[in-house]
Amino acid sequence: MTRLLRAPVAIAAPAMLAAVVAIVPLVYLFDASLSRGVENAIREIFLARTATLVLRTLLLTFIVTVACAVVGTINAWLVVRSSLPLRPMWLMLLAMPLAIPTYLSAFAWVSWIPTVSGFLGASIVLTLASYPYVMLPVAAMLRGADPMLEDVARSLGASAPSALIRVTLRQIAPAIWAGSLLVALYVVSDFGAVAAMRLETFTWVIYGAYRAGFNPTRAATLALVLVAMALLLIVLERHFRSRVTQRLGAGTARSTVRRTTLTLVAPALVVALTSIGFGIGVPLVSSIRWTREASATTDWSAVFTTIMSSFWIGFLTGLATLLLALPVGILIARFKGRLADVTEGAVFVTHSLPGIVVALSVVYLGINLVRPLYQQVPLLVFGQVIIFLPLVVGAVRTSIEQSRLALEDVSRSLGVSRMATVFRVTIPLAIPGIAAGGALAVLGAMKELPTTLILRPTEVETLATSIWKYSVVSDFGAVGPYAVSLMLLAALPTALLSHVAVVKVAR
Amino acid sequence: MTAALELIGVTHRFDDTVVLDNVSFQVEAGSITAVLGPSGVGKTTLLRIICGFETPQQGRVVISGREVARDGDSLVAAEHRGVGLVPQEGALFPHLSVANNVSFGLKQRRSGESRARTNHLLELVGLAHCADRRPEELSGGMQQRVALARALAPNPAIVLLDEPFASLDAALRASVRAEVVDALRRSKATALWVTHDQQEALSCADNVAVMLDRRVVQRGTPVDLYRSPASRAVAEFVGEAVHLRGQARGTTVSCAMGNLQLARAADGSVTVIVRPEQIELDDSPTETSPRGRVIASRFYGHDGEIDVRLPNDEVVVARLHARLLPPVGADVALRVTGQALAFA
Repeated sequence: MTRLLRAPVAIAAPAMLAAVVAIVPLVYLFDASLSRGVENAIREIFLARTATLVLRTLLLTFIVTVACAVVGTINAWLVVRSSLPLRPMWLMLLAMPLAIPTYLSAFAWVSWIPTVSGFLGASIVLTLASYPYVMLPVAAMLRGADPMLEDVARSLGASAPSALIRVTLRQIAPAIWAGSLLVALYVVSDFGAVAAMRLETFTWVIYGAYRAGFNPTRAATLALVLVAMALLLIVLERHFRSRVTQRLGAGTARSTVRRTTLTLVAPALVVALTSIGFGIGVPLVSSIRWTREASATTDWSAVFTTIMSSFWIGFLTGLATLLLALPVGILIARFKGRLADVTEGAVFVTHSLPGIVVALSVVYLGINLVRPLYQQVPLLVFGQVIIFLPLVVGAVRTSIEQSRLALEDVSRSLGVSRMATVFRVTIPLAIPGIAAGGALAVLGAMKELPTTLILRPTEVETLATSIWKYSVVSDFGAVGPYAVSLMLLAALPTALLSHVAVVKVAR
Repeated sequence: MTAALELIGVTHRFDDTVVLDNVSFQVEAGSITAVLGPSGVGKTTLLRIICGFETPQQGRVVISGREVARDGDSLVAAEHRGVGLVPQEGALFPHLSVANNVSFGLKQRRSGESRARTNHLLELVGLAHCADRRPEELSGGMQQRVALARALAPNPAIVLLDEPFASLDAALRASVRAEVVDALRRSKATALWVTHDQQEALSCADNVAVMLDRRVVQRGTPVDLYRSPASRAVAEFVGEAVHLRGQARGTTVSCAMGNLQLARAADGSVTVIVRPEQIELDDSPTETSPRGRVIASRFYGHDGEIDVRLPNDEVVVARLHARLLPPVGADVALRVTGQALAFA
């Protein structure tokens, strides 16, 4: 039932601001790409090397996505349905690769096995970094799916593996699809892993075009092709996510754990241990080794300064993103109407913009419109807000939509105005989602490489840029302390995130 | 004396579907009025209109003499209407304690006055000992009573209850219902109660408005509704009915159960309706007593029902004391007590 009452100004105004912020990069892309005429842009797209680029990017995306779908689903099954002890702890550990930036993993792999560099290395690193995007939604859906269906299938004569495939896998298929498409989106947007592995995909070439004298037309045109690919993925993802249904009828909440035989658990456990071992183990062990090897020469005060700037930039980004995402989330979830649709659309499209693309467009904005802010912290935060806004809006919106509308109606009927109801009912009930959204933004901002590289003030180094700076010259001893610090800092929001996921999954 | 609530010609549509069609009734201050209707008849929409969450396209809503909505315009926002709402399943705020739920709508919530009011209301619903508990620690029935206390706290002109007991199991429902009615009576509150449960409406309310097919088809006291329903549909909805074909002339009707007295005069071919409890076994039958064969017998414990096939193949249901239930296959003589209803 739609609400006939329109949103209060205090919600609508910041939401409109967010929508404008969200579409800034797209405006730039079209402007820059068409600045030398449509024909020039079209010629760039149909260059032979562009085609190679597209194919290579697609192949990488396909391989990583399939691998993540398999690994993520197996891990989700293990932590939700098997009789493995300490399942919440396993879930937490399996989610930890989210805390590790892909460029760091990639450098760790290259320093360990130099020959892995290239397509193979990028595939391994991206798979280990991205399978949680499949695991988390699948685990949530497995938890919500009615386990009685599997029992019914068994009672109708299906064997355990057959019931798993014919019933359970069918039930969770939409979640697997949605998670996989998210993985695909992150693979086409990823800069760190392919850059560290020196694999020429879209993002790496766009960065190159920018570095080599800032050729805005080529960079922007390539970025448009990339955005088109990402937009297609995200439209598909949304289609599948809408089919992620809960069970029919309420039923009673029952344990979803099934007594599982060793023949089923053992292979799954191997997958899980491999995910954790290579996903967290390789970067963690490498970083610690690097740090110990170079402990004598480490300038700890520089490390500390860098930690503080990373922390502050992350904190500011998290705060600013939440402040914009909260009104947008409330507007979309609770005040449906044309304004909500437009805002949702703008934020939705933004989700398809890779970090490198946002960074380039904010550079353009900085040079042309707000020169004094160019390469200053506010513009860096602005760029990161654009990148993380869709994720945070999603988290906030979902948790608002999950709380009952009747609660807000009751509040109104008790004499509390719409705005006061937002503060006294809507927001307190959405706190888990808001916290998760904030954690996502802080985590993302601390890991984010291309935006920080391009937009940071020249004298400011963050953990991400320090790791990059020393890694590209293979000075791994110097990388160590920064890498360890970043992983420790990122572990906090990741733990919070997987805690929220665990609570959701365990409910 | 003004009515606490008055609806005048309220009509509401969602897109092209009419959900409420010219609904009018009023609720006297201090009374409990039930709106009784089957699911999907627009009862919840009616409550949302009174609360101010929907605005009716036509008609007026007047609360304590103040017009709050008129012909598509909401004149008073939901938060200023002074309407307490007890939604389905209570809808307590999960992030607040029981006491903070109750004090939610009070001004200056931390004042001694609010605290006293909160305690008073929790006592009224018999839950003073639960003030510091979390809502999820309470049973469904207790949650409903807290929801009522919360709705009563700001002294609303009227309390609206939306199927308040639908989610409780049958055993619990009767006792929670009694407690809620008792609390409403003692606080002298005015209440409008929406339900699809005939027993609930008839046993709790001073007045009942029956809604069928998007409109109010009859208003009256529970006894009036049961004894003299305005239409066959109402008669069937408010209680069990036995149907017989009959020929009416004035205040008598002749049918397979003999010549019966009518509550309202009728003429010609009619459908005769009697209630199962009006049909009794006739232990001193005469030659004209209607007779039949028992074809089914249902034992409920305190009482029971039999289905009796009459010679003309019509089947009547009789509600009997459990110890009087004849076995299936027995031939019995029947009689009808009280007046019958006849509808063309």
